[in-house]
Amino acid sequence: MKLKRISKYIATPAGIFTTLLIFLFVLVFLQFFVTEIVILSLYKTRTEQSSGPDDPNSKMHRSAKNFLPDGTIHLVYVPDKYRYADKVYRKEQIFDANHNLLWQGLHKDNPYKYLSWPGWSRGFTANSMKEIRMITPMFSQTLEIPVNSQQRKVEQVWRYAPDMDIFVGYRFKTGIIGYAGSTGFTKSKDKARPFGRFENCYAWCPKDSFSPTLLWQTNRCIYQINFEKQRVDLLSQDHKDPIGRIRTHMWGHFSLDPEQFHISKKYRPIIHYSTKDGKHHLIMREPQQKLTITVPEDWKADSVKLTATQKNIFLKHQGGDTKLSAAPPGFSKQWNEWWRDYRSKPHKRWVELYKVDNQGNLELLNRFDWISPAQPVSNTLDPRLQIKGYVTGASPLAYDLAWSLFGDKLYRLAHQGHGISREYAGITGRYRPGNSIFNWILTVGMMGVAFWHGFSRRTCWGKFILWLVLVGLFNLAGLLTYLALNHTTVIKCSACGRRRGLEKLDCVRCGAELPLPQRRELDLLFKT
Amino acid sequence: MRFLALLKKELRECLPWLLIAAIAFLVLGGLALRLMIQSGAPFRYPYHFSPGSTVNRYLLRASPLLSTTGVWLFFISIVLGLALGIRQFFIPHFSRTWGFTIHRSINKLTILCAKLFVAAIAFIISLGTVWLLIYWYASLPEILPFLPEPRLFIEGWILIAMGFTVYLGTALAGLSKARWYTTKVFPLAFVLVIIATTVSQWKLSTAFAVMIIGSLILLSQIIHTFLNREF
Repeated sequence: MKLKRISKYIATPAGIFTTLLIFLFVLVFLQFFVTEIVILSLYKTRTEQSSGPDDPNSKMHRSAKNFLPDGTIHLVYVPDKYRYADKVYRKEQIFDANHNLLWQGLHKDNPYKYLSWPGWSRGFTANSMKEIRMITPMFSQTLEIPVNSQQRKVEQVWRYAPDMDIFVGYRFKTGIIGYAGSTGFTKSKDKARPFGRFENCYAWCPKDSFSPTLLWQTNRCIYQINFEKQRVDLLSQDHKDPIGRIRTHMWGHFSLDPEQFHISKKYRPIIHYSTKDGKHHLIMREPQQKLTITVPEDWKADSVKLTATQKNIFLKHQGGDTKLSAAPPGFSKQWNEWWRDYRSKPHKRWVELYKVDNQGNLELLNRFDWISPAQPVSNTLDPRLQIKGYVTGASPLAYDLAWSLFGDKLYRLAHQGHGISREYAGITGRYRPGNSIFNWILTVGMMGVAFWHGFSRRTCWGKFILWLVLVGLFNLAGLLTYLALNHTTVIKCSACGRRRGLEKLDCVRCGAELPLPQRRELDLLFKT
Repeated sequence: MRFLALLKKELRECLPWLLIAAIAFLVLGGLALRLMIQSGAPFRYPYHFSPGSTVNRYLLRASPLLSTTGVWLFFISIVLGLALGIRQFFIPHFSRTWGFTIHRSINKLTILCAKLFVAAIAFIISLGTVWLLIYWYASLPEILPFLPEPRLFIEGWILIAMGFTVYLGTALAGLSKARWYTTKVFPLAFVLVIIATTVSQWKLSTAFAVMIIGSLILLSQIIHTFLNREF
């Protein structure tokens, strides 16, 4: 019987947890369903509201700010109807800094050749790696790099082994042929050193090869791995600070697009990245060169772009007087209010072009300032947010509590995490009540119902209060859990005439014991 | 001796399901592997790349050569979990035979242990052994171009453990006295949450931790319900 008692103390909380979890999922499903239906029904009216007149300030703000290699700035405006058109058929208007029209026509006939800038390397990220390693019914996957001959026949395959953080090479039917790690290619597994915490990977085939080459970024280094030539090159230095996302320009592949092909002849292949200490690093080829550039502390890492022509190195910086919201985007009323306030006021913005010398010093070539106009904002809250206010009325207060205690961790998990943990964090963020009065009223109401239901059925005060706290923390889901696990029959007390539960021998109101059955004539047992 | 008698009874009742699962997995899982080897697909690389082109990141992902076998293992494991749970905890209720089992001169916990033990043995024998055989065959030289990773073998056991969690969920649902449209189905819904959480893990240790915690939550409720329920 000891086990019976022990199992009670473990099984009861386990049962509460199971039931509560399922009710929370059902609630989230309903909240999601209602919100999506409302968003869909409001979509048409919102799109009609969002289109506004093209005033000159708005035109200037929406124009691309392009620089010529001599530092001259041009504003390239694409009218709304061509905004999503194919590049070849897109009509453009080009203005100078004083907003005088210089040229207009199809994009392909544009007589000006602007500086070209690198884009984010959209490779295989650490999250993508985690996703393919998930233990699905089809088992986890990995990366596999083939080495093909000129006749396009697969000669070797190099598979990434995440547990060892090295590549293992195979030849069909021959078995393992070698290993590739941070120190290079080797025949021995013991000599292969791990690369380090994986961050990003970008692949292309060199001009003379049918086999992919990898740009392999870890949290501190960047490697280039050529499996065909069996070479691992450490491109960056081994940084003490973690390195951010990398941008590449003309690195590795060339494009068949004539415009891009023309550009590729004039530019040096580069890799640009920044480190946490605020420094920007440039790795260049043709000829090989590495450069570290120190920029003012108030420049955000994402606002800086670097490019290198055959003659010069340029830096573009975009700035503004915007102060970011303290609240995480999209999830709260506080952020929404910041966003409305931000949109309702004009803001100062600027773009600067610098020339970078071989020591990494900056020389300002040109700067253009403009005002981004205020956007029309309705006096009322976003209708979707209003609906969210009602929908989250039934959300648990525990979500708010979790976000106030572990807000940073949950925010990071919801935005940079992966898999189901990301979904769980996202749900608590999206449907958190956000201190709304409606939610408080509902919570108190739920506690009231639980109190009314449980008062006559209570067996001890401690348990009763704990249930009330649980209902208070989890709102509707808490009340449903309470009812699912505590609903018992009540009878009218024979002494005081009020409702009482059957779980306890004495009445919770008057203390009278449960009535015994009436003795009857034929009850021989009691008569003797 | 009494426990052994109970074990024999449970094993006799579960034997058809145990055999069906073992044969089904051996035939379907083994056939999937054999057909893939015969097709020669593992010895060909499905994509070709042109010189000077950017390589689509998704083309570099490689599925393990035992992936189809894994799908069968998962599916059969889930079905076996449901079948054993229904056989041991729903059928005695429908056929009104709980009374005969409970009123043996043996305590309730021993009866429950016999049921759980036989279910665990059924999973190990029918699916575990066959999985071991298939993995051993795939690891033989010259069967596949690459040796399957040892991690795959452990992942196979996680899929088998998922089936056992389904069995625990079905058992708890069978023991619950609630109506089927209320909290009776909650243990099965909870199992879905456990499986979804496990499937999204990329570390073996975390996946095992999720499975163990989930199973313990169910097991504690099964013991409590079984010991306290009037049959």
